[in-house]
Amino acid sequence: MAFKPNPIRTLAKSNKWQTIYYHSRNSSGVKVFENNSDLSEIQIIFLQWLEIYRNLYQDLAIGEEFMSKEVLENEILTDAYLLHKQKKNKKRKSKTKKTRKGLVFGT
Amino acid sequence: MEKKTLDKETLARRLAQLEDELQIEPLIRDNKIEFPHKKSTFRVRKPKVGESLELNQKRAEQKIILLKRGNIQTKKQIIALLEKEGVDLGALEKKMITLQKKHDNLLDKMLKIEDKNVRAKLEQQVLDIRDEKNLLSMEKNDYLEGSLEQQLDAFSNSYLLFLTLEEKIKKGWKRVFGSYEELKNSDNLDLLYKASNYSQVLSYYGI
Repeated sequence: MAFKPNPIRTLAKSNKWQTIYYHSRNSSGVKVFENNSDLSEIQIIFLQWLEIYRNLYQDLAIGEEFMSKEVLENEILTDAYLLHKQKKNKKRKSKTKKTRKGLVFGT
Repeated sequence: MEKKTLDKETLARRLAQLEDELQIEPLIRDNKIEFPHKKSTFRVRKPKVGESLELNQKRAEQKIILLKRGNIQTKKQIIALLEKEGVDLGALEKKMITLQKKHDNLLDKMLKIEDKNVRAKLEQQVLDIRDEKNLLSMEKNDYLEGSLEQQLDAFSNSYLLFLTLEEKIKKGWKRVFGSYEELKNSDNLDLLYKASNYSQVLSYYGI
């Protein structure tokens, strides 16, 4: 089956929607949706992708390891990057937990 | 409301189909999907609070009707029956988990490889695994066809259509069907199929 990018992700990644999202976060009166409450599941999913892509653009700006324009443009590579980031965060969290434990118990 | 289940692949397929036929952007914006059919314009929309309550109540009533009628199995009962027949759905699920692990390992590998050709090959393998998983998921659904849960989902989907499928009349919108019975007796299957696909994208739960 030919691969088709997920249209919700394509929208969330777009310059237009990232700008709308940015301004909506700064309480400038710009709204992402026409409704303010009672969001549908698809709107919640869209918000999640807006936030994910906002973070990815930030990673690109600060030159995070493995992040590039090519990664952002390719949905599967983006998935690979997100998985990598998830694993990295998990490792960091467990390391912090161990350090805290060490500080408390002196191990 | 009980959560409907729609796997990620099915949702992605429906969304892609939606994108082929009309823009997804207005849907995101206001929870309404307008579409042309023959010479008219129709829409499906998110149900209002009162309509959701009505839907829940009708679903509960339908559950009692189906249970009273008897001769209906829940998913759990069907799984137990299949096990006796030698069909192990648990093994199918394990296979899906194994595929997911393989998929994630490939993704992990892919990011660290710079050679574009090797990357493309890995990408194809990832897509193949996704297809394989999709097929397994459909196979599992086929086994559970006719279960109480699936019949209730089908009922909810059609009742939701009765509540939220509207036709554009001059400047306003009017329900297409005056009653659920009218919808059930309708032979406008093209319209119902189209509307049902859009409605399910709109009311999709649990990613």
